[in-house]
Amino acid sequence: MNALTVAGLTVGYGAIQVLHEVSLTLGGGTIVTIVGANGAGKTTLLKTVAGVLSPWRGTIALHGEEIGGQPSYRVARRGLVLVPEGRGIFGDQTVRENLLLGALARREGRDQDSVGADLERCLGLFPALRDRLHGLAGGLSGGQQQMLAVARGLMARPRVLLLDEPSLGLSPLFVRQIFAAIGRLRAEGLTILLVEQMAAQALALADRAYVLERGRIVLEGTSAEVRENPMVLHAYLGRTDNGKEAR
Amino acid sequence: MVPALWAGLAVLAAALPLLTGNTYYIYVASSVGLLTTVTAGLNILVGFTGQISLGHAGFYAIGAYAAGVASVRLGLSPWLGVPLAVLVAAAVGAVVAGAALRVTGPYLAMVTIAFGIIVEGILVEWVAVTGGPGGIFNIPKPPLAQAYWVILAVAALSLILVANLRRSAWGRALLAVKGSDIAAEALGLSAYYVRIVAFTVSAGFAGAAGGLFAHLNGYISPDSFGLQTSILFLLALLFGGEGRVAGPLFGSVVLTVLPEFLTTLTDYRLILYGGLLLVSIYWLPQGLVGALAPRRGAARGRRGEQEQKNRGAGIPAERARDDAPRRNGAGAQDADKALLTVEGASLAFGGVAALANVSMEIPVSGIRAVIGPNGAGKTTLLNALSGFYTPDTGSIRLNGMSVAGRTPYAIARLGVSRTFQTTQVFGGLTVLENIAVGVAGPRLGSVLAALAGTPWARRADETVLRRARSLLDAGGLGEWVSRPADALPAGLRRRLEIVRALATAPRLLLLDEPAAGLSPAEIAELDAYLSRLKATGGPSVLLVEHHMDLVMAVSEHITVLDYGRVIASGTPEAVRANPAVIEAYLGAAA
Repeated sequence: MNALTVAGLTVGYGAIQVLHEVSLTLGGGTIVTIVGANGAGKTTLLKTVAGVLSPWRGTIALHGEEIGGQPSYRVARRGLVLVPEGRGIFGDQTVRENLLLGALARREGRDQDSVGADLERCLGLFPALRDRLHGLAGGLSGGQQQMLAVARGLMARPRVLLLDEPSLGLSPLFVRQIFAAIGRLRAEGLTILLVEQMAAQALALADRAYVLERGRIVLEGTSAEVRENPMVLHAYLGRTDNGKEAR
Repeated sequence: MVPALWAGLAVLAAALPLLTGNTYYIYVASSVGLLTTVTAGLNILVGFTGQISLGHAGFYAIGAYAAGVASVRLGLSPWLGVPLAVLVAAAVGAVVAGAALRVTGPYLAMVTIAFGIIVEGILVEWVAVTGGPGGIFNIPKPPLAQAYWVILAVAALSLILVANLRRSAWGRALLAVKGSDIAAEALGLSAYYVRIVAFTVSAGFAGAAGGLFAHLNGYISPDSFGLQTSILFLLALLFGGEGRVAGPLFGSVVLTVLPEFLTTLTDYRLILYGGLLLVSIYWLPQGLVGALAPRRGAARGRRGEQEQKNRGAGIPAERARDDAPRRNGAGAQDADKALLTVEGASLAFGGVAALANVSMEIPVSGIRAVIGPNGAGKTTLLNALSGFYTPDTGSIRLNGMSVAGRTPYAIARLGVSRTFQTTQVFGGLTVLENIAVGVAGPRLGSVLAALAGTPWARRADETVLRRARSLLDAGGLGEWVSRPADALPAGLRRRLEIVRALATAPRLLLLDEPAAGLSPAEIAELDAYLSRLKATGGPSVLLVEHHMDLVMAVSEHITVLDYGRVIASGTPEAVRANPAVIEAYLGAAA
């Protein structure tokens, strides 16, 4: 059974329709990435799957159970966790408190030992957070807040993790670290839906990819297929037709 | 069609005394007019600047007593007394605002409640002037129909003045301060001053209504001016639709007429108000007018996007040329002179050193970059340069003048403009209006001229909008002109911020991660754009960025920060090869 199945999803804001009949599937333990320009509807798609927005039409099934239209907190408790664009960290609480709040959504392993172990694991993934563990999250730099947001998402022990631009605002060194961390999470069996402007890195990591243009899926396939598609090469990977870097 | 509707409504309202001899109807209609006048003014404060007052009954009272005292004790005509009421209320408003607007949001609401209570207390205690609890009697009452026509004219005028204001540079400044006061300050606007003006003007409107109320009633007493009245004012505005020009009228009609139908339930009036407030919050978040108006932007759809993409490089060269800063004329010959000098700047937050003895120079032209790991202090440095932080020690000099410790808007007026890591667009304004705020900067003209919509003010404003329009077209945002700025996708918001910052014609432009969240194609556009800006005599640029290929391509000099210290500084090639930089930032395979 697929970890996540989205079928015919249509949604918008007010009178403006953003997504048109979007369908996609995530196999368990795979990484699927969505490639698309700014404004194509990638963030809207993630928000709708996570229950932040209500779909106009279409279905969303998590491990075969329909979750479309459910509020986001209930979706999170079922194991689908969104790390939103713009981070949404709790600035008035410490880094540690932020991480512990992430554990609230989990259904099992709520005892102190399990939570503590997961905390250690997250700090292992993002050592920069360890130095600031007892400082206020609002005092972190932008990039550190991004790491905290991802780590807090992991604290929920998600079955499916939605990542919206996890590399946003990270230094080159940390970009590589965060992509490496995402790869390790997949190896541990986590299913990940990844939206990322760094399309080349995302495609290198993903198993499957979908290209979203103006709210419609225009291309799908294994990430190798998508990566070799001339349109994708040109529009999203910044390469000219003869395969040379555009800049 | 809509103007015809308004004209019809106005004619109908004016004809009311001819249609009915029933003084009760005319009295109720007069009350609608008074409430419309107060709420139109309150709309400037609440709807445009986003600040809440629960003390406007105080200004209403001041207007009423000023008019009452003027006519009864001083024997002045109402034609002098009511304008006097406006002046007195506005003057008190300015003084109160100067003190109260040190705080904003819920704290301001609390302070204004206190103000209302104090006014009520004075009305009761200062018997010699106010007549104490008994109030003032025998205020000259013109015939009811005449009073009604004057009130109607003032209410209509109030709506027109507010509509004029909304369209002016002042209106945009008010909404900018509401949308993001830090971005407004970075464009040279003092949020404090702008809010004081809004508060003062709205107090003046309340004063006008109060003065008219005194002459309509012929009798005033402290009972009419309690907290309940302030709540009614706010409720009428919220119910009608705050921030919408016609909102006060609709809210005033409903909030005046409805209780009249339910006169048997007078004792439950507060419950009715509470119920209406809940209704408007749950079902009418934009008020009646918002619910009735067609959804903005719906028709425009997303047509622009594809055209946008097809246009490729997007930002033509004219743009940068058009933008060549007027103040930077000297340009090339003193290119080696420093525009900005930072010496030994240090800044700590709770014991953590965000900046440690940072020194750097920014020349009058060209592009410099600051890179470093997350948390190295890059944004802190930009905040110090733009006045949002003051360094604990060290100096920052702009053209030899010390600027450390100056306010952000003062530094912006000296020619330092910036963008923000988390984009700060003015959500209540369109894309065009966002840029117009940058073009106008602190040059807003007279607020009275903006209210009156004088031809001179309109012409000045057209010039501002024309320039904003040309900047916007050249910046590749032409398809998005009248979109609300908060409806823009993330990448275009960044572009809007850059165009808006350049609209101030800065000497120094600080960019905080302009490429974050942009696609490779958009980064290529940004690269071309920055290069063109440099080639066409644009401002000096300080770029904080993580996309190393962009940094390498456009900047002549790179400063590397780590733990608040400068660990390397030099040409892109030298920095890229520096072992300390590779270790701390780039990682091995850069």
